[in-house]
Amino acid sequence: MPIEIAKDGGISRPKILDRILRLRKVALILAYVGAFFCSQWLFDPANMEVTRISEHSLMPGLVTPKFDKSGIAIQLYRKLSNLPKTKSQQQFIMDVFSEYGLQCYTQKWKSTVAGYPMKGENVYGFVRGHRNDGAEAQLIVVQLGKSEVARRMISRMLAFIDYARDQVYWSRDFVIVFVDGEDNNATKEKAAFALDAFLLKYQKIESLNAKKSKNKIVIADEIQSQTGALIAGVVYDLSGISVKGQHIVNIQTNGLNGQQVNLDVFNGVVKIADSKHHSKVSIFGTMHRHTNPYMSFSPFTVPILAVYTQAFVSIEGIHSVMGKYGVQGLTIGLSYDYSERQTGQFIEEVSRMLNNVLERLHQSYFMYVLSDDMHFSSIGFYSITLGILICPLLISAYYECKKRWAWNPVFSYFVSHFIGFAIYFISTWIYKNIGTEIVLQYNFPFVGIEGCPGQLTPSYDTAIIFIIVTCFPIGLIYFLQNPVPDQYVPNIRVLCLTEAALILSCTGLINYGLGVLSAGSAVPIVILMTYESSQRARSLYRSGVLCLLSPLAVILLFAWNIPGIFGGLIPTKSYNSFSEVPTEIIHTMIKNDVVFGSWHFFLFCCAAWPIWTMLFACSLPYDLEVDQGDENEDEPRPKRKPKAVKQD
Amino acid sequence: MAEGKGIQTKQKESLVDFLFPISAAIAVRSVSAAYSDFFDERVEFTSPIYSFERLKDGISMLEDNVDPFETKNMHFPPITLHLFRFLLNSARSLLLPLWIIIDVATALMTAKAAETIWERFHGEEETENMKRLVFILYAFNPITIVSTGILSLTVLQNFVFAAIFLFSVTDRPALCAVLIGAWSSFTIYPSILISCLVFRSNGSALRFMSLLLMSALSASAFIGINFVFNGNSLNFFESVYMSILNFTNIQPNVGLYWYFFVQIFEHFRSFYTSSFVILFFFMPIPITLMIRRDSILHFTIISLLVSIFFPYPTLNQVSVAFAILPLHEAYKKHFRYTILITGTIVTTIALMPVMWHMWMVSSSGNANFFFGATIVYNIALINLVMDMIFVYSRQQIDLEYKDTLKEKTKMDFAFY
Repeated sequence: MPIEIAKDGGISRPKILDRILRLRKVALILAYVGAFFCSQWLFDPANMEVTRISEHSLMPGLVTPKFDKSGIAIQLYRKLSNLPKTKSQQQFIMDVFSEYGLQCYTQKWKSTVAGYPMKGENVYGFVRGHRNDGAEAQLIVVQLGKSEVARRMISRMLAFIDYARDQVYWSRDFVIVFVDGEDNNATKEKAAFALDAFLLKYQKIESLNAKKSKNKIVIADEIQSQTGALIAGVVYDLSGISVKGQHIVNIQTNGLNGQQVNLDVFNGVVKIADSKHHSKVSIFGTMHRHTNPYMSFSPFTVPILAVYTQAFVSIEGIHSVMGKYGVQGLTIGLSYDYSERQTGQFIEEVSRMLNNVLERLHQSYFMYVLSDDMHFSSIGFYSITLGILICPLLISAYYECKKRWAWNPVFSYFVSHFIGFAIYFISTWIYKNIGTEIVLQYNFPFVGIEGCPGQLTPSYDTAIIFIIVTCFPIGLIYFLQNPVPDQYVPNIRVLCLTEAALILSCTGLINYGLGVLSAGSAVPIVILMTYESSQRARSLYRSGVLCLLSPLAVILLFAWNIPGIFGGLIPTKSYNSFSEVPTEIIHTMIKNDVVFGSWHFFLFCCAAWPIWTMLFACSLPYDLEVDQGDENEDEPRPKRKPKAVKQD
Repeated sequence: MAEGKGIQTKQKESLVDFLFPISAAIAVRSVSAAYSDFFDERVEFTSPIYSFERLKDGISMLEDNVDPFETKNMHFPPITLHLFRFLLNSARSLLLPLWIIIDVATALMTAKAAETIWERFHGEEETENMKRLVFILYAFNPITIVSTGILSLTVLQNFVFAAIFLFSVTDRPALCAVLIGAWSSFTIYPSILISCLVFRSNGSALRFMSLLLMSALSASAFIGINFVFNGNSLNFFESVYMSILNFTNIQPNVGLYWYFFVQIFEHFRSFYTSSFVILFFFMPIPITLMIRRDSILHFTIISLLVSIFFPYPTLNQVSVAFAILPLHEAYKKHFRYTILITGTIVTTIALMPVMWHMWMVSSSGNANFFFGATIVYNIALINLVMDMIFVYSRQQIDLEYKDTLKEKTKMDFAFY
């Protein structure tokens, strides 16, 4: 093969490539079928890897727990329930820490984002490890709140702190943070934001680069005391349930932008729940089949949820922001029916485990897809699916490359990306500095009818404007009036195909869920729109279809048809009206981008939208000379005539 | 007189034609500066030799009367420190406009050089198209845009490269020699560009020696100025020059060497250091002896080598070389690995930030991931150089044996 590549100065191609190119017309179908069966095989728990103990820290976690402060937990719960109105939970926690003789401080924070006006007050304290050299620490997070569940969790954690301060074997300090936020699911984002504010100050991110302060999204008090680097963090709540006496612990592992907690940490918690508390574990809010005797689940339910959650749910829990700061974080939803003693012992065991965890958890266990609490697929296996899906793009790109076309940098390609970036920049700037609604006023001075500034002028939701701008097929209008010269069309096809392939594969390497789900919808669109067309009607038809398939419309299509799976992204009530779902999606994407640093909105504006716009330049032209030349080349070569056999 | 008017009108038309691309180039560079916070931390765009943040550190030391060269990690010569100290103190807000002007001027100079080369053998329209293409390739290369936004010193290097190229094609070898000498006094490696002056010596060894001498004088003059600026001390030599020759500041970058020197045992270090340095300075000799009939191809190869084998490179160092690649259209049909090399370069550039994220941010990768992307990128560049040498040889065979070669004659070559 190498000699063939170099044959005749590189003019002739290796035969293997020609053979692959002959499959181009069916490559898309083959890739879909291949990816489907490949995923079915890979994500079947029977074929997945079994979690194994690679961390020596698990054993200390399984040593008999000694927590015995149930009475204190109950007393604290009563006190917390009967707090006078003049006293906040923060003050109560400060008092308890003072009684214990431990350091405790408050941290006030406030969001500077106009579209996300939040403020609050965290409480944080330290339990110093007697054997600690101050280099490392573990983080424990509990959400403040007035509900019974929140009060119970706070009091049990305070009781554990009382227990922990007396133990002499801690080789890592504890950093315990009680983050401000309401105690329901809708406002877990606020708690995540509060934890983000704490970690931002604790990790001294701002002081590393003073220039960043001009872009900061939160103003927060500085941290009063410091300890070592946070190796891992656990968020505790009582979101687990109990069915007929069987405790179910709810574990959440997904971080921002596809980050996941190290599998060893997850594995350790699962083993503790199973062997010490005889509790089952639910992942992504779902019990898996071999631990759920109550109903039959498809073996693929958990992997699908894992992929979906990784792809679209930026803030799965409070722990999701920890990954930004290099802290391995997960949320453990302990069973609501756990006694005070059992809760304390569970926390003790997990803390012992983290107390002995290696300095740096091994990097092999950050990229996985879980199928249940003991089976996972690692990147070496699951990325095969993504590779198969992307293959048709590469084959088509190579096919276009081998045509004899004139290469020229297409200015419109550059401009479309620039416009995409401008949309991203303007949308996020408005959300950060103005809010979710804007007033369009062109008369100077900018005052309302009655002299009130902007009061009586109609305001517009930025999401609606965004939807109109991004769904309007500007590419169709532009390329109808200014068609790309025939010889440059393959040029744009190559650019679209290559960019799509690169973005999907790069995204898939970091966030497999987003990569594979985007590839599932983007690959057929890009392939079909860049395919040669010999008829005008076909070109117009597919361009019309492309108008409907804007990136937002594709997301909406899935959101409307699979509302159950998109439940994490869109509240159910939004489905009552037509415009609510896209508005909700856009608001969520912009908010997650500005507030938490999610990439969804950036990828949407700077990759998906420009490619969609440029696809019109490929879908509109038809009957191109440059294509015909190659079509003939693709035809099967005439078979050689059989040699005449001499007959005697 | 009438001819002169014609030339003037042509120049004006040419500038008007370029007005929109120039404005667009300035606009995108201004926008990229808004994201300098993000990009100036990217190892793909900065290195200890070219980082403006590092330069500011050195200037701060100067302001505090601390000798910047005591720290051993300050790689800017005293003249750079003092010049930018003056600029930062007197016209800090003009730095970005200055950088933008320099970078756009680089694009224009490269385009002008392309025009000069092309108009010798091609028509007016083709020349105009080539000029525009070369301008666009440089001015709208995302890497040059980002590098300008973060005030990378590679922008200045590209400016000097473009100037050397322009002076070379317009037959001003003396200016080339002075510029090569001057720039070599900053980072040493561009000194191999002196081999390009062989083509401008008209076969006269004496003329070439005089150009060499001019270059050496220019370099010596700059070293002398550095000596004076540094308070008549030569202590900057180790930080500025020896760090480049000894590969001492090992930090991740897009080059070949950082990972190698992290891995090897210390007692082998001097052997490998010497080998790499000798290899680099020896390479221009066979290349110049071989490619004797095409100075443009020779310049492209040498400028690629300067970037590939530099210990602290950034992606922007090959931007001028990439922009002038269309000038080798005569060889186009003989290039063997165009798709392979283009695909590899584009893919690895896209993968570098991904691998860095996996290594540094999500902890799901290690140094091998990032190094894998960078080494494949460099291999692609080396392949490009080898392919260029191949196409030259292939064309020479065509020219040499054109009488004996028939239309369907096929020649088989080994892999290289």
